[in-house]
Amino acid sequence: MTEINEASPEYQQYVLRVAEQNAVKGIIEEPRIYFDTITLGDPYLEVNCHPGTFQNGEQFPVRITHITMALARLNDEDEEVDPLLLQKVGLRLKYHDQFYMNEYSDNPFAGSRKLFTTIPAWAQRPTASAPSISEATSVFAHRPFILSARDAMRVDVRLDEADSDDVFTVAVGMNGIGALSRRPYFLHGSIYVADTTKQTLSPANFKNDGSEPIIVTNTTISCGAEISSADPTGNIARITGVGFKQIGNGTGRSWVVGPTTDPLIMSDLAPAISLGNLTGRAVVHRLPGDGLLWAPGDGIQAFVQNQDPSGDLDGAKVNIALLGYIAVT
Amino acid sequence: MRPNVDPKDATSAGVWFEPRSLWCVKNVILDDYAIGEGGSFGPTLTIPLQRNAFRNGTRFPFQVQRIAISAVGYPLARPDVLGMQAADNAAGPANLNGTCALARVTFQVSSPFRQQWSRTVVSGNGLAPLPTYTPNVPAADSGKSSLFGLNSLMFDRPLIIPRNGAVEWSMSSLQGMRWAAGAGGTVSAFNLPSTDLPMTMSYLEKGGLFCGSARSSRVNLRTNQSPIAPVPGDDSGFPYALPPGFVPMVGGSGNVPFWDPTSTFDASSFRTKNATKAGSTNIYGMTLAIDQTAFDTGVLAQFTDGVVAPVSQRIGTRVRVVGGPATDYWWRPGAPAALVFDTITPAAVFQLDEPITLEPGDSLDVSLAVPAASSFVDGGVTVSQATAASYQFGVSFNGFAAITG
Repeated sequence: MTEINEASPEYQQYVLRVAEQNAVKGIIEEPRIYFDTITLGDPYLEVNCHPGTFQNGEQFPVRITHITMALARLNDEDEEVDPLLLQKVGLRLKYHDQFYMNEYSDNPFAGSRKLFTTIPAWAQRPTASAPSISEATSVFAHRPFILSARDAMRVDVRLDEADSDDVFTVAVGMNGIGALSRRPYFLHGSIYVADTTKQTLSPANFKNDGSEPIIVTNTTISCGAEISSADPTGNIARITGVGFKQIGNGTGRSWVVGPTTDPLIMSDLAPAISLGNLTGRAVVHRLPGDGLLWAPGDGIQAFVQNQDPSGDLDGAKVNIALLGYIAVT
Repeated sequence: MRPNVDPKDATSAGVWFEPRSLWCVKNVILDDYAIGEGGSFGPTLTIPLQRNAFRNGTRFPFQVQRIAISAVGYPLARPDVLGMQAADNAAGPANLNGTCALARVTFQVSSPFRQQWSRTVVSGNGLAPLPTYTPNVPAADSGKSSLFGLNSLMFDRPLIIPRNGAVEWSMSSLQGMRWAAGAGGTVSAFNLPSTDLPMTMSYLEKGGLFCGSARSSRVNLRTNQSPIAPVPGDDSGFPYALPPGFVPMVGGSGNVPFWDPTSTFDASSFRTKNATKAGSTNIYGMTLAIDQTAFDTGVLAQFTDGVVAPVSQRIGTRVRVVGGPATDYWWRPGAPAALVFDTITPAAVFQLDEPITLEPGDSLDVSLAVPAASSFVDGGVTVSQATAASYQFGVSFNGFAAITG
């Protein structure tokens, strides 16, 4: 195949070599997640993202490699939304007056209404994991970053619904290898979460206690079922926010950048379903070639469109995320 | 057939690559075959597929990368066992009346006078298939076909379209169906839903300020409500025969041709979508998103215990480049979308460890074997097995052609 496959061993080896070379050259690369949760409007209405959300606000270049799209579990009245309805949502990105994937589809049947390219048509590769865990897990294959000796990760999570009667297990794992020993490392922590409050997993779970730096290559987030439920099937869409920040080296800044103008959204916590670019339940589009390079201040705009005239999507929310990495030189 | 030559070596020599597929859909009706000695088929019936379907009839070498196999024409993936029991007597067991019957088929591939791809028959689910499907649907949507309704084909080699070139891509209509078993079953006769299904056809491109773009067309997948009954037992491809218990839709009013012009992303639309690009276009894949959620709901209202199959296993496709060095269709028109769009697909797809190249005129021999007798004797022991009155499967060999001159 012509595009990069993050799951391939060859690619994993390649990025590990890049990470090691970066360490020698003094280049810091760190994952970045730009996300927005956009409420759909009336049928066929084009709705903008929050202003300034998809913008590089840092002093160094950012490369965007993936776009992920998924419906939020709850609509604006806290009612559950059928995830299959994502097939009736369109998306368009705009960058310096260029559109991606295009401005409008040809649409000979809907009269004068112009439609964005529907979201499932953006997917290029299968991202399904085993059915037993597929609904509960997202795997984020990111640019490797160096977790230096005695560094730790701050990992925050929150749910999308406040109900003190329901308790869920949220688990986060990070995989990597030792920069010197080449041994595998698996940093893992979990926490019980019951409401929409931001909660922090114990940093002890994500601390590099060893004597060597760890090159972390991917991160897994999962949400189990309500702990007293007889049905053990979890739902990753329940985690409306997950955030990461390296304590010690690195940029020291949150990986997650979201809208700051919406009181319902925490700008440093991205929906966990949006991080599933390797496996998960989001539609994943890998940008061609090396992706999109954002200089400081650069950015794009996203527009979504409700393409369901039946009204089932009224008030539903779409999570759009751009995944990539920053390079600090 | 010869060992693979790395096509990257040819890139600088001006070689043009286009996706290609050789395919065949075979409808097997056991009654059409003569019973052998002893008054029985034996455990299985082996049927050779048309050799012409797997012959490279072009002037260019065709490199096979993958094999896809799928049941074709079934509206259900896993049948409604209770609702379809009526077919037990009339048309075979209900549990083989869906795309899941693929698990009962075996196939064998060889090249005439040369070698076999496998020395023994290969089970339809016996090889290690690639992960090719979308995530499972949640429990609340149990029985629906798919989370995203998507098929995609990412090209093995980029397709370079010249400045004035274009691609022409047509999708067939759906054949209207009616569940006719009625008597004895728990589900009365009914027409399957025939409302138009929204369908988005997209080409993915590289290049430009935004590192890529796409040309997409949103059309409706239409159902032919007055179809002519296809010829059973024919393996010419389309319209695909109907599975046991189903007949052409009755009482419908819309007579839609197999190649409905409104389901075509034609060359002029292709050019219109990107009129400003100065040079050639690098296309790296195509996606086909079919929103069949309304169809699924309609089918499940009747077959409450069933699982609906993606309609990409029931519709044909054809694609060709216009204004390029080769204007052949990429595959014989009518190939089921699930067989040729094989990156995301409900078909089972196997990657060849080492690609094989079919030179012009080369062909492959492909045979399918299906369970034939309801019982057979093995070592003095009588073994019973389920068998149906008919089966329908498709096989495709997918890769690309290297075009010169």
